[in-house]
Amino acid sequence: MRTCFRTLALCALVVATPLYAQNNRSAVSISGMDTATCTVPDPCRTFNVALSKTNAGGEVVALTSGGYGPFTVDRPATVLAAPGVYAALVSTTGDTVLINAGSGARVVIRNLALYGMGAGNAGVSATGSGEEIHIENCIIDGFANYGVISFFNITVADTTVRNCGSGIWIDNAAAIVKGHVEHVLIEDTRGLATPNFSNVGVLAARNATVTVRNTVVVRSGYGFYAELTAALTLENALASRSAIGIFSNAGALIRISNCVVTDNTTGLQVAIGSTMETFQNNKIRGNGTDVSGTLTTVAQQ
Amino acid sequence: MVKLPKAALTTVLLFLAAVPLIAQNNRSAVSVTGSDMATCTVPDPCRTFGVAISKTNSGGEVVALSSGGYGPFTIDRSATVTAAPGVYAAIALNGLGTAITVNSGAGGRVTIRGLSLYGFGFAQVGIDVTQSGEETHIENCIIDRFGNGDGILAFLNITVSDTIIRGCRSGIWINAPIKASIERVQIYDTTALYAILAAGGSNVTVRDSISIRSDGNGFLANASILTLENCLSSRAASYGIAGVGLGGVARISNCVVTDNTYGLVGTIETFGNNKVRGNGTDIYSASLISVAQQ
Repeated sequence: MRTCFRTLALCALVVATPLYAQNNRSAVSISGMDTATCTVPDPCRTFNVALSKTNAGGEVVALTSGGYGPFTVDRPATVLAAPGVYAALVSTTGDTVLINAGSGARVVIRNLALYGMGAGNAGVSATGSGEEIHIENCIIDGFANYGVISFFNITVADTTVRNCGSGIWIDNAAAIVKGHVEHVLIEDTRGLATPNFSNVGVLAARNATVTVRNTVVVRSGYGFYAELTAALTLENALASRSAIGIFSNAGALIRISNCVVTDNTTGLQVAIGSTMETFQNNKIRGNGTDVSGTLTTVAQQ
Repeated sequence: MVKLPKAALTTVLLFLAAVPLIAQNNRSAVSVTGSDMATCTVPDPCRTFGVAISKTNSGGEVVALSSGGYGPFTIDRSATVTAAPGVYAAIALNGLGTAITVNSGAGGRVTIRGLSLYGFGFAQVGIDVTQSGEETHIENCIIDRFGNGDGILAFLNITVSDTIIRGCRSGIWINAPIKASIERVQIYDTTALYAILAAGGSNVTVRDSISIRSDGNGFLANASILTLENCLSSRAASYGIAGVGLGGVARISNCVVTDNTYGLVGTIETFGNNKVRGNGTDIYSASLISVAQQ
């Protein structure tokens, strides 16, 4: 009997061990080692290893400036660089930050600089799993296809997206997805020579409902674009130097207020069967064609 | 037993009484490599804010010099508690309780700047401004997942600016006849009640701030005045913006209210420049009072 109890106790200890090894706050540093405990006084070298030693809902902090390499967020977590630290991630293939955090998971990516060198697929790809994704204070540069792509609820705030195939792409074929874009600068989305879906500043498609505020798209195929049953609300946005500044297509709904649309080939375009509601306070001037299609006027309250 | 002469005893007592005054800093410091036995100065920092504050003159400051965790604390006097620019100073609380308590005394003035507060979904209050103090300023902070209470709970005057509040039961809960100003605050994923509640006869002004996903309400005035300029309320399970209770009014200008179950509710004064569309019901049981811009 005593042996039996000992065996049970040993088994319980072994099962419980991984719980002891986790941090609420993990840390990485360019002088860290992945064999470390990943704590602030004993940091690891890579985000992936640090995440693996972090409790669900915990945080991983980069303590020193330098490169840290791509990683996958496989649990609810906050991943950030300390203020004043330049934590860069370079990936010339695939995704730099992949979010696959599990259903119901909240993830925050803050103050990182992501570089695709013109070849990586996406800066942040929230295409695995998760419930609410927050991207704050990031720089996302040079990804061939997407700065940010998300199938799950996402907010992007205080971020610059440059030189990507598309800036922020929010879409879900089967489930409702919500997005908010706040104070984001999207520059030089390149894609194909002929503008199409491959180069869009902000895209909302199918089951997406997206709000955008205080945000700029400069030089793109389409600046702000919604298609199918998506809804896109724009407040105080600017679209310039694009083939189409704001485009509602294939049955989508776009609402515009306090927007500036100038120096595009076409300013506003509304496809047949799609809707663009205007609160009559937008400045649409200096485009090749200012308005193509029919706008719907709605009253401010 | 050795008996001290009376005069000597008096001298010793006077000296002891005077010691705390001599030992105070105008600027105290904490560091993750500091020790609470230190003097809490920049060259000799302490480990925790609580001890550093105890060694700081009223009106002085406590600066975090290195990145890491510092633990919950109470501000019991007028003081500025700040992380140096570039330093990540976190206050984590993985259980019930409050991360920062402001109890600065009558007329107390407190500034909390550059701190990151984590509640892991269980903690109750990020910053509690209910005890004592005249003005509390919260700047450049992150307040994350105080799931059993409020990001900020205020019964005393506050200003909150350039701050992100995520995953709290309520973002900012004000429930007393006080004044509050909220500027450039982003509130996400409110788990139950209000992104911002103005109650108890308060007068609250909010500008350039947003509420994205509240599983309760966005901005709500209850028997209070809530002025909203250039705000956005979206994804509230109940009300986007509401004015309820005796004398409760939300004054709104340049606001976007969309994708809420109910957009505008109750007593709303509008300057005629708000965008209220795409809610389950845009205007629900509301008395919209038009007021002229001047």
